[in-house]
This record gives sequence, structure tokens and C-alpha cells, in this order.
Amino acid sequence: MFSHIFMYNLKTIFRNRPAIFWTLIYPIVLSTLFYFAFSNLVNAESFEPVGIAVAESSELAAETGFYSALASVSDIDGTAEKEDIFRIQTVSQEEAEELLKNGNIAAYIFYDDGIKLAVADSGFGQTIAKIFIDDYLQASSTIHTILSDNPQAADQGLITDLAQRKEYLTQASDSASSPDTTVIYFYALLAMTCLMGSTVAVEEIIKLQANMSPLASRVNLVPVAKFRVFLYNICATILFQMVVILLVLAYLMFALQIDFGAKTGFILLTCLISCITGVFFGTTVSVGFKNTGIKYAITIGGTMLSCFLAGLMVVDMKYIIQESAPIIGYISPANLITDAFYSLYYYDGLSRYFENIILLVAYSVVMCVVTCLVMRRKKYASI
Amino acid sequence: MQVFKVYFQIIKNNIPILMIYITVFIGISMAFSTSGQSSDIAEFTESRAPVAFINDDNDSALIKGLMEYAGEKSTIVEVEDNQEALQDALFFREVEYIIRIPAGFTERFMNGEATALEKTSIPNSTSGIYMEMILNNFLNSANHYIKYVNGITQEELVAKVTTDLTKETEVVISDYESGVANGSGMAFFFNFAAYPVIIILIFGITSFMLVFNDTLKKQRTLCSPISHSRLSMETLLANLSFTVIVWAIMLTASFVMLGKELLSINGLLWAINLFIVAIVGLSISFLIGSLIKNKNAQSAVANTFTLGLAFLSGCFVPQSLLNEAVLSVGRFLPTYWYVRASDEIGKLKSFGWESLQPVIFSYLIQIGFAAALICIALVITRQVRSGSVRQA
Repeated sequence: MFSHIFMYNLKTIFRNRPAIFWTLIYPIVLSTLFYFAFSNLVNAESFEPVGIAVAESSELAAETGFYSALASVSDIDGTAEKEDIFRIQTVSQEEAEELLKNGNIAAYIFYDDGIKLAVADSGFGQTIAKIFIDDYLQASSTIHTILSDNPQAADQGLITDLAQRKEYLTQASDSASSPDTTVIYFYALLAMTCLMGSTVAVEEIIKLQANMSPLASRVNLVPVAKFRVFLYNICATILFQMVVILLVLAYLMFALQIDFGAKTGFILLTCLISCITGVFFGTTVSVGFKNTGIKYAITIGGTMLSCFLAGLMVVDMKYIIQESAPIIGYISPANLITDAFYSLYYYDGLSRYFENIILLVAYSVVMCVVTCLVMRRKKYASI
Repeated sequence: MQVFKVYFQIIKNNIPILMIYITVFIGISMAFSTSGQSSDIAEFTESRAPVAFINDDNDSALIKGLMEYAGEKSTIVEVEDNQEALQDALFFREVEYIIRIPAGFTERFMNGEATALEKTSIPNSTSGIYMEMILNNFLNSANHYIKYVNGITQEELVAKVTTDLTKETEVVISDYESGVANGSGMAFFFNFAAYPVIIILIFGITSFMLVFNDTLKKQRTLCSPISHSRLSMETLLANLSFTVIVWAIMLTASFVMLGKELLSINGLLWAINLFIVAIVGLSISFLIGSLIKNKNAQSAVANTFTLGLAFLSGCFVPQSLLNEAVLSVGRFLPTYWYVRASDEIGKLKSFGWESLQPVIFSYLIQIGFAAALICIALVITRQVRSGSVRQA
């Protein structure tokens, strides 16, 4: 009996074209779009030398100390190095103004009763240029103060010392590997795929509620306990959903090369549990509401809202929730799934991972029990 | 105006689904506007990076001075000192730079011994380079005093260094003709607005077409006393009215979100751009409507198609952050030109022919796309019509 009901139900699900589209094709298309759109996002943070200009003047040329300081961090000396902070064009004041106006440079340095900076906008490039000149002016002030306190300092090597800057920062030994925020999008997407299984589960319950579909009226007449039919149908749904998730996961891991970390066993466990959570979410909603439209609206709406809070659309959302409303994070299933993947990828320990998994299992059990209790002994004397 | 009335009756039935997209749009753009900051250029403001300090040393005057200076140049964020909280904060860019002051730092530094702060940062990031300049400036200056002024105390040292560090470069702002203050932020809002506009138009217009293209209903309509040209005219009028309504709603939303700043030439150019992209949306909807046969296909096609358009042309992720391959595909999409025009408008500070040229050029390309799409749709409907006649 099991194999009969199971097999035929599985066939029905696999022939449900909208279900295949929304659970399988849609996540794959969306992840591909994510991949193309976000592939450059990580590079955007990395530092590019700031383009500035120096407006030539005789006063500025007289500041030889400034030129040599500038040369050490830019290509003004004709040698472009990888560590340079600035890319410099040496031009006239008018040309510099023109370059700035057209947005070709972030700022230009000119001399007007002191070294000054001209900008058209605020930004990191402009701020870095300002800090650099500040440093030069401040060093001059330092020399001045030291010489007034200790006139012999000049002979003791102060000037050469000033030219040599010490590095006071070292990379901490325990710092994490370069954290790539965009993985959250893909984890949240996988959470969405798992939870979208709820729509298929809604359909499964409709197949069993005699007041919802003619098919269910017929099923209610069969000489098999309803609980068994339910169990077999749900097994088929979970199998279908698991196949879908593995396909999406394989696509993410192998075609798009998304980094999930190395703990493959735990990743698969997360997929299985998430898919069970998704299915029972669907069954609970489906037994709880009578109107078909509302059943779908709540499952799809709930899934998308949960995924939004987990960072599917705006990645910062996940952190905002975690910091300001952690309780939502513990309730929202998409957040638990995303966080489970995230902790596998980012942490060495597993405690946070298991916290997520235990909550997911607990929710699944509760929702399963609720579904069974509502469905139990339901008689349809007249429809 | 029977057809016109039926059209809006159908739209009315679809209002819940259309509302979803408007709500999502407003929700997400609000989430973005709180996380992004606007750069007002009335005066030069230094950019600040979010940093966290963890002090394993004692609260010496030196460290207090250093942190005070760093606090002026960056935003100090309090983060709990445990591995997980720090990792999380760094991952979500709540802080971009974590500085750990090792135990005994002050003592070694004051004795002129070699010592260093430990940094945890996003490798090779702009904010990292910036923070290093700041911290090194302070410590280098302090080191010179220690070396050349005998017996200097920590308090004296901090006072002297802080005085030196108040010497700042004068920054002159070259203010060109007035533009909008937060151009790039507003451009982002409009880039994003293309998504709800297009998807709402697709859902509305294709819902109508699904009803009217249904074979039986169509046959009934054709034998009614309404002439074919009248039917077409009323449909066209209804489509245009719907487009204008959607455009007006989005424009109202943008006024609510962005405020008075929009009452400028830039705002006018954005409004025109949004209208043109709405016309493009209309033509896309017309094409999709003549291809699809049922509701399932409608939501599948509408969602994937619009997301594809939006992602590949920079509606969600700014074009400057997309890679070259995506952009070269994007050039074949009308929304790419919409986003391009919108970005240009954000940067516009003067309104001469020369600076307006790229914007107008992008407008024209979008109009070209719209015309081409409508032609394709007309060819398809013609074929379908002649096909159905032959069938009959």
C-alpha cells in the first residue's frame, strides 16, 4: 500500500509544472542573477589608488619635503607601485579645475598661502588626500615644538627620523579569512527554496480535505486510515522537496562556486531539516485556513517575509534583526536556516549551528503535531 | 467606453497583488535609505569608518588620547569582546576595522621599544587604509616626542600631539552650478523604482489581455456591435491611462521618500525618465501578454523577466559595481539605459546641451526599444489572429 500511494503521489507532484517552476527553476534563475550582479561586489570594497592632481606653482615646488613625502606614496616620481595611495597628474590650476569639474579626479592640491586642497564632493578618496596633507602640516608643527623644547634635536637626527614613518599596526593572528558578505544572499535563497516547499505541502493537504477538492472526497472513501495516506503523501512531498533542494544546492556549489565551507555532512543535514520544516509549515497553514487563496498567500507571503528578514533582499537586514530584535531571528525559520549555513561557513565551533538546528527540529515537530491534531477524526458528513 | 470600464474592473480585481510590489518596494527602499548616508556638500565632511577598539592594556593617558583622536576621525562602535560578536560585526560591516591594544603597549611605547597594535580588517579595504593613516599619524608623532624630549610624561605627550594634530589642511569646495545634494542616493531610488513600475504594468496589462484574448470571449467580443478600431482605441487609451496612473503613484512615493529636493531640473529629468521606462514597461507587457496563455505562466514570466531585467541592468546593484560582462549584456536591455540616464541625472550640476546630451541619448534608446517591442508584439498578435481565423 505504501509504495502504491507514495509512487503515485510522487508522480503527481513531479507533473505539477507550477510547483517545479517555483521550487526549482525560480531559485536557479534567481541565484544566477545574484551571481552576476554580486560577482563584483567584494572587489568594490578594495582600495584603488585615489586619482588627484597637483596644480603646479613655484610656491608648491619650494616645498621639497612635501614632494618627497608625496613621491613615496604615489606615482609622481614616475614609478607606479602597487602600494601607492595616489595616482597624480601634474597640471596647471585651470586644468586641475577642469579635471575636478568633470569628475576625473577626486581632489587637487594647490598653493594659496599654504598647501590647500580643492574638492567637489565629500568621500573617502578626498578624506584620504586631506589626511595626507594634514600629516605633512602636523609633522612640521611637531618639528617646531620639538626644536623649541630641545634645540639639539636637529643634530640628533630628527629630520631623517621624520621622513621615516614607522608602522604601528600588525595583522592580528586570529583574524578571520576574508569575509564575503554576498554568501548570505545565496544562503537566504536556499532557505527560500526550502520554505517554498510549503506551497507543495498546501496542495497535499487539499488532496486530503474532502471539503476542499473532489479528489479528497474520493480519497476519504478509501479503506486506508487517513493518517497513513497523510504520512505516505508527506513522505513523497519531502522526497520531492529534497531532490529539488539538492539540485539547487549542487547548482550553487558546483556551477556558481558559492563557498559553503567544508562540512558537507552538516550542510546536507541542514537541507533535510529545513525541507521538513518547510513542508510542515505548509501543512499547518493548510489545515488552519479554509480559503485556498489565503493558504497560498500565507505560505508564500510568510516565506518571503521570513527570507527578507534573513537578508535575501538586503543583507544588512539579518544583522539588524540579530542586534535589535533577536527574538524575531529565533522565530523566523528562514533566519534559522540562513544562520545555520552561515555558522557552518564562518565559525569553527558548532554550538551556534546546533542551536539553529534544534530550533528548526522543534518547530517541525510542533507543526507536525498541530497538523495531525487538526486533521484527526475530521468527518465530512455533508459537504 | 465599455472596454475601458472592463479594463479597470480587471485591474481593480488585481489590486492586492499589485499592492504587494508597491509595499515591497517602499519597504526595501526605506531599509536602504536608513543604511545609506547622504553626502551633503554644503561643506566638506570627512568620511568616517566604523571601528572598534578593544583595550587589553590599562586605561593610560596615551591610549585615551589615541582613542579620542581616532573617535574624531572615525565612528567608534561598541562591540562585545568575544570572538563570535567581533566576527559577526566584521562580516556584516557593522565595523570595518577592529583594533586590539595589547597588554603592556603603553609601557613599551613610552620606553621607545618596538610594539604594535593588532588590527583585524577586511583585507585591502579603503577604510582600512584610511584608519592606518590616522593611527600611524598619531603614533609616529608621539614617538618623535618620546625620542627627542627627555622625560616627557604621558599627559604632556598627548597634549602636544593633540595640538599638532589640530593643524588641518584648508579644504576649498569647488561649487559648480547647483545640482541636487544627494544625487547618487536619489538616483539609486529611481533606479530601483523601475522594478515595481515594470512588474505592476506587466501584471495589470497581461491580466486584461488574458481575459480578452481568451478564444471564446474574443469571438463574442468580435461579434458585438463595437467596431474593431473602437476596441483597439479604447484598449490603447486604457493602457496609457494605467501607465500614467502607475507612473503618478511612483512619483508620489518618490516625493514622500525624497522630499522637496525633487522640485528641481534634476527631479523633472528623473520624472521624464521614469515615464519613458513606464512606456517601455507597457510595450514589454503588451509583448508578454500576446505570448502567454494562462495565469501560471503570467506570474512565472512576469517575475523572472522583470528580475532579470532589473539585476542585469543595475536597478538593484549600481552599474559601477557590476562587472564588465554583465554590463555588456545589459546594454541590450532598455532598463540599462534607464539606469544610465538616472545615474547621469544624479551627477548633473549644469544643464547645458553638452551635459544633457548623454541623458537625452539614453532617453532615445529607451524609446527605440519600446517601439521595437511594440512592433514585435503587433507581428505576433497578427499571426495569432490569422492563425485563429484559419482554425475557425
